Amino acid sequence: MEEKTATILVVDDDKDIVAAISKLLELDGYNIIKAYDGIEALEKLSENEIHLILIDVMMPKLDGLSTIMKIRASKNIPIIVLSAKSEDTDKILGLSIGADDYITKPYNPMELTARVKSSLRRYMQLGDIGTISKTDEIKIGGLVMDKQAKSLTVDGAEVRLTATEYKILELLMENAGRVFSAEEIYRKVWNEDAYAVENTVMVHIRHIREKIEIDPKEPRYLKVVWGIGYKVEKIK
Amino acid sequence: MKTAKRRRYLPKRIRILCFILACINICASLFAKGYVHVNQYIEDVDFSDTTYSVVTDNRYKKKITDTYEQLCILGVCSLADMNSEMEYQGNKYLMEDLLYYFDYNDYKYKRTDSGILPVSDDFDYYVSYTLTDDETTDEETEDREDNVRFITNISESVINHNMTEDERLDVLRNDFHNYLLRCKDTMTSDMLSSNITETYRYRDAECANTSNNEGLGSIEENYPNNYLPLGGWYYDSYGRYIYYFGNMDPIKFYKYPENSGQGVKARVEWQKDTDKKRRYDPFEFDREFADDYNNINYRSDMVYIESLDDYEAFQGSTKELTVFIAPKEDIIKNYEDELFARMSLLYINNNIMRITGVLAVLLVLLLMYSSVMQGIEKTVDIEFFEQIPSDFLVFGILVSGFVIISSNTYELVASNVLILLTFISIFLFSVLNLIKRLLGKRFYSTGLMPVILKKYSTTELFKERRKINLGRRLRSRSILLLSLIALCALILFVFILLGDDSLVLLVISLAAVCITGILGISVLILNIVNANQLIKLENRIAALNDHEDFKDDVSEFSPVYLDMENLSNISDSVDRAVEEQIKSERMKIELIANVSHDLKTPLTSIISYIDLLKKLELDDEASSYVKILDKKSQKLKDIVADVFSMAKATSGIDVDLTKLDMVMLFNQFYADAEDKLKNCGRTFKIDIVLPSATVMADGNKMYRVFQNLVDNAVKYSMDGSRIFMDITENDGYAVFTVKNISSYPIDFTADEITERFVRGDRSRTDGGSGLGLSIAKTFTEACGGKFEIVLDGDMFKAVVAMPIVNDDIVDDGIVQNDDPK
Repeated sequence: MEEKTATILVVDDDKDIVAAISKLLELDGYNIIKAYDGIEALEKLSENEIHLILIDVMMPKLDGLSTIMKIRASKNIPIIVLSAKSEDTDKILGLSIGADDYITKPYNPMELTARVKSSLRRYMQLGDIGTISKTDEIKIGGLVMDKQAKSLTVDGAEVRLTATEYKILELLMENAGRVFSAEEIYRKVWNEDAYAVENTVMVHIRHIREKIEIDPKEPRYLKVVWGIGYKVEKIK
Repeated sequence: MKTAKRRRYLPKRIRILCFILACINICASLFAKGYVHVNQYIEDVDFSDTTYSVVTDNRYKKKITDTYEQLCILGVCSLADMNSEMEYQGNKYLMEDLLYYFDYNDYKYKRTDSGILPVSDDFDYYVSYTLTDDETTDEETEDREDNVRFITNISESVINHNMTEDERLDVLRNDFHNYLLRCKDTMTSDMLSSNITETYRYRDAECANTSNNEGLGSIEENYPNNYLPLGGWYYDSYGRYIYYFGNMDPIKFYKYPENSGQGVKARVEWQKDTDKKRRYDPFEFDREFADDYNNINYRSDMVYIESLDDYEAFQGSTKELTVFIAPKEDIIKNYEDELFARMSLLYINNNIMRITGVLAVLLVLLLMYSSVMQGIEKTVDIEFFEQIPSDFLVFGILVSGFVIISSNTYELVASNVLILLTFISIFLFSVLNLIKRLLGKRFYSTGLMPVILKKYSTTELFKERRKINLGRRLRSRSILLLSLIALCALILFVFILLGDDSLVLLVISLAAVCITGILGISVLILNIVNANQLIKLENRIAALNDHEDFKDDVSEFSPVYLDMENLSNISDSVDRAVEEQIKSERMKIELIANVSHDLKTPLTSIISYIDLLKKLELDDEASSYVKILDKKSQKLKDIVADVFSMAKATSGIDVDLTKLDMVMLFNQFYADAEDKLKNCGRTFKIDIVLPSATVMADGNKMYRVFQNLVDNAVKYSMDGSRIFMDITENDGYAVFTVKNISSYPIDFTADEITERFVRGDRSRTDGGSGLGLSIAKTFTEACGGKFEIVLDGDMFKAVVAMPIVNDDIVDDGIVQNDDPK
């Protein structure tokens, strides 16, 4: 199936926003189906073959979260939540009930298209490869690190990393969720005593982020724990 | 069905009635039991014997014996030595000894012209002595009558000298009841014997020619209880007369031959030998001879007079003695009344015993029935028995237990068995019930006190008293006690001052001391009780202060009950206030969230459509407008985000404090922003004195603080100028400072600049939401730090100070090990 012909269901009670998103995505060549509340979304979903859903949380009749739960009962398609709620708790809740991504309003249109694209790509590839993962493979969300090939793919697209960047990312991904201080990273990657290495490590981290994150300012995978260190988020 | 029917046969009221009957039963049994104890000797008497007499009564027996003895001795000693003119002709020392003996024994008598006249309130008496003259043996009755000497307290109209002795005796026998008569060495009475005999024991002279060493023999004689002993007297070779009419111990006298020297000598001799005995027979010692006695040397080897070789005793004659005693009429009447009352009481008592027996059987049956029913119905039929106060149960156990234990020593006659059964059943019932209550923890609540207190709590008095608080009670109580003590002391003082003559004063002062003592002790006890209540109150206050729950409630009778209530109200209102605070806080957050949502939704549309506009082919002018729109909408987006995050931080939510290293945070920040800072045309002078500075803060917030401050410095400093950043330690704080020289004159105060939406440069429109410093301040303070702006000429200085925490403190704030220093 070609990416460009993917059908996307856009659900929001604000018609103008639906229209704007539709236009934006249509420009990228997607098919768009619109719905204005949760019930309508479920109807449209049963009537059409949908490859991705963009859904608002606060909606009349049936709210976004309930709709997602209903969809997840039968379908595995990617769901991106689009919400004005920017609290961490809202994000965690949305992701935990089955959403694949969470974009806060007001969104950056570029970012929106990028995320839609990456989610779709991941979904398609997942269909090809299946759920079987190799033993030497570390998978965190859309990040897949093949330790034999020393390669990294982000949502199926290969990313080129320098050797140091790869080593740092490998360390962090292997210990996903754990926080490493700059010294620790330096000692483990460079095998040297660390002294005032904050900058060195940070620069590398920044570069990695720019390569793997859609929005480096709001990283999804590689995060700075201010005042403590760095970590890769643990995502299933 | 069956049980319901049975229940109808014995409804609750009858059961209650049975119980009340049982209670009466117990009381009656106790009464009867007690009465029997008091009058047990009556049980020995056959009440059908109507001759039961005052003479046999124990209370009169002693009097009768005393009177009898008195009369006998008087007859033998005094009347025998009287002439026909009733003048005493005998030994005056003997008479003195006799009177001494009477006085010693408290025998009442008076001296009259015709000799000694015994006085008796209770008895009529008559005593006579017939002189037998050996020389005149003529049988003339007149002469014989002249030889009779008698004294009596019976009036002369009944007994007089004009009658012969036999006539007088006839009158006495016929006119008096319950009499005792001794005549010619025989005892007679008009009463029947009750077959109880009394034994009299005394010494007796065997006879004059007894040659063994002991001149005296011991006699033991038995007499029926309404008879008195005949007794007698003897005289010995030492001139002593010994009488033994009623008392166990003989009475010893001396006969002094005209006060001769031999007499004195004999007496002194004897006294030497029986010195020790003097104490037991005080009348043996005559004061007249005290001087003689004192001159005698004591001999250590003491010899009893009876065991002397030459001791001889001779039986005296009592054939001539006649003694008559009869209770006076009113005494007999009183006694009969009394006897009748006593016997009817005993009769009632016997009937009560019978009734209690029946009731006891009823009670036992009831209790058995009740327990059986409980077993059958498997329900606890307690509605009535539960209402018996626990105190009564305890009392019941004690009383019945005592009765059961003490019953063992008595004969188990039928009525006693029933009474015992009653008490055993009561004992078992009480014990079982009490155990049930103790197990159910209902012992106290079913006691008498709580019930009474419950009743008391509904009275007006209680409501009035409750308004008085503990302090006032203590004060008034203490004042009362103090004034009582003062009064008591005053009374005692007066008492001592006036001397101890006045009985009234003595009583008053004793009463005052007693009342004061009792009141004082009760006040002290009350104070201890109240002190406990006060401690509770203090604990309550402490608990309130520590925001802890307080479980230990006081009863509504406690003097601090109202205070506790007030405290509880305060606690409640504080809780309510806190709750309201939380509620309003939550509402504020919700408001922020809603407002932010409402702002963001249209903004989303605006940004989206501007983006779409950008993608269209527009002419240059329109394109430039779209660019402006894009920029402004982005700025609006930033402002909304800033306002929202600041509002959250101000409300204290969304602040997650963890232990982090401020120096590392700065390094991370600097590394993160390095590219941007390098290209901004400023020179950065960084001076980090501390190797690390552990603080409690929210990493994201502190990052924003650094970012805002550095952005601010870059934005408002002159191009090419230097910006100084340093981290130092000052007084336990890690202090981060950013300094720059303002690119334009500073025309605002330090306070103004941190106010929201105030910007230093009103003319510049690019960049920032105008909230940068506000956010920095708010975030710093939300993390527990201090934020300060210092303006000095064109120099702009921002200072962030965070308290340094000990490295040993882990995230949850527990100190794991102390610094050894």
